[in-house]
Amino acid sequence: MKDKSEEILSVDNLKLYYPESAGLFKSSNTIKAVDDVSFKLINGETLGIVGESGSGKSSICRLILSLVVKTSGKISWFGNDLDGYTKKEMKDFRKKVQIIFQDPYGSLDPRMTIGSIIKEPLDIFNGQLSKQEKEEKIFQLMNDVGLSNDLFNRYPHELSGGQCQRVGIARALINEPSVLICDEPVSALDLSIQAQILDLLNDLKSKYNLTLIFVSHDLSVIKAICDKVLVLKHGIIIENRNTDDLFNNPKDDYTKKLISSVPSPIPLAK
Amino acid sequence: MNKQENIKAIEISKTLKGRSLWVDARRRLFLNKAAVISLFTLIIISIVSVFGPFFLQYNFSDTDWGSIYQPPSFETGHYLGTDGNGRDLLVRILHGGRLSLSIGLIATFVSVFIGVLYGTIAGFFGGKLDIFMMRIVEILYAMPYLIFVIILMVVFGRNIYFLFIAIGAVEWLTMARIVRGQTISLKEKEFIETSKALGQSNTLIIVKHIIPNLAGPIIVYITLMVPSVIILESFLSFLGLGVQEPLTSWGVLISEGSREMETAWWLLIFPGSFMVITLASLNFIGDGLRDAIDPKEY
Ligand SMILES: Nc1ncnc2c1ncn2[C@@H]1O[C@H](COP(=O)(O)OP(=O)(O)OP(=O)(O)O)[C@@H](O)[C@H]1O
Ligand SMILES: [Mg+2]
Repeated sequence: MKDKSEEILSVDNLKLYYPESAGLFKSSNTIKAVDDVSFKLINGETLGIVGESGSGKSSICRLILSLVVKTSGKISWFGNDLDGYTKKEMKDFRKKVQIIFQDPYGSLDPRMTIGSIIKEPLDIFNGQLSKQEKEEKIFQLMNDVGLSNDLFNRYPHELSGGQCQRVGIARALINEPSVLICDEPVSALDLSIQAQILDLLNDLKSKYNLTLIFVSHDLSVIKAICDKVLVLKHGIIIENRNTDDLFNNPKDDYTKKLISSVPSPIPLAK
Repeated sequence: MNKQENIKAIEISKTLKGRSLWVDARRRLFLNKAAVISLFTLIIISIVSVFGPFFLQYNFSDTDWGSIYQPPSFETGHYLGTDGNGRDLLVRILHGGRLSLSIGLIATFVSVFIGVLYGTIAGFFGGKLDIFMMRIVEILYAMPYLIFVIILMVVFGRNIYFLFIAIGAVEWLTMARIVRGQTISLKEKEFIETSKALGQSNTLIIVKHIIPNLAGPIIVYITLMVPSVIILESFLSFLGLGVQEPLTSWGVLISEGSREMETAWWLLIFPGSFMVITLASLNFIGDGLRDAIDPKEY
């Protein structure tokens, strides 16, 4: 068994700067989307990332998955720097770390059926499986995320937003990853649906032994499911603490402001 | 879910099997009456153009000074009349159809192929490559088109097949621009990011996700391009850069016919009708295809 306090992912002094292209003359200004961010992700925990719009939450997620090229810093997977990874090692890493996004419809190719959308990761990582084995797995996942089988041949626009988000979750989990990054997975959904999806994520977390990174600008959501929270402002981490600590005893004014503006808590069957 | 349920579920999927974009699209296309009739018409016109001349008593280049400007008549066997050289109009229209249709389809295919490839690569990879590739397109755009074609003709000789490529090679520019723009907006979508995060290769992302989502605009553009290519060919022929007498095309027949409209109406009306029917059919097929490949139209 893995050590419970094992460190899965660590991020050190991570920076992502964009050149600011505004203005007629070349300015030396840069947008600091992520500025000197360091944190560790411990096996089995749920790490929340909170902050206002533009604070760099999505940028951190994209950096972890190498979807954008970092300006500087280090990302390590079980202590190994990702920069030194071979192609094959990188592929293994990509299998183990999955992401779901905010926009339920934008996350799914509108020209593909639900079945083939969920199948895509299997084709990439488990090409050796037979067609039947793949289908069996897809149906199992659809069942796990609460989608009925007859949606297999439907297209995304025939589904509700909540159902689309479930499809995204099924696709993310089909290769049994260890880390699931959720970039505002419920922000685009109705309140009642939000609670359902959060419950589902909670269930799947224990069923699949997942470690979660959960991004939100909504502290009530964070409070409901996260063990630890990073508070982000202008790309800088201003608090990195246990959730209960943070809510009982916020240090920074910015955090206090965020907490005081929390709307009604999400009713969750925890 | 237990094994049994799984098997049942697979059974369900088998009965609904083959629900993929293209299979669905074909079924929906065949439900569209206008598109089916148009497809049928286009096939008939193509078959008649290719095989019809073998069954007619006249040859497309046979001149007959005894029967110039004959109006349509069943007795003489000139069903659609004759032109100023006494040549049978029907056989000339069918011959012209071979050329116009094949030039329309082949030149369009060439330019769509190049344009889609070029546009997706520029748009998808972006950055300096994109700037460089689009600069080339702008330069080609700015070149006087006719001079461009003339240079190509001079360099490669006045081969009729070369006309196809010359037109296609110029028409791809607009396609490339359209496709690039669409690709740029598509690649920001989360489903592309998800694919990238999965480590899907760029080629497969383009083939599996980008191009199917571009199919709508591409098809619309094809239906606009075929007619414009047919018209462009007649223009080039008019300048002496296209087909040469006694060979002909619909564009050439129409432009000749329009000059003799007052004395011999049939020389304009009949080639014109073939052209109009073909273009209208293409339009309906295009509309039908665009709707058929859009799952939302289901
Ligand atoms: N490609 C880019 N070019 C330039 N600036 C960018 C780019 N992508 C992001 N940024 C900037 O980086 C900053 C952080 O963006 P990011 O998307 O990470 O914020 P966020 O916290 O996820 O916000 P939201 O809650 O709105 O999703 C923003 O100021 C944004 O404008
Ligand atoms: Mg974001």
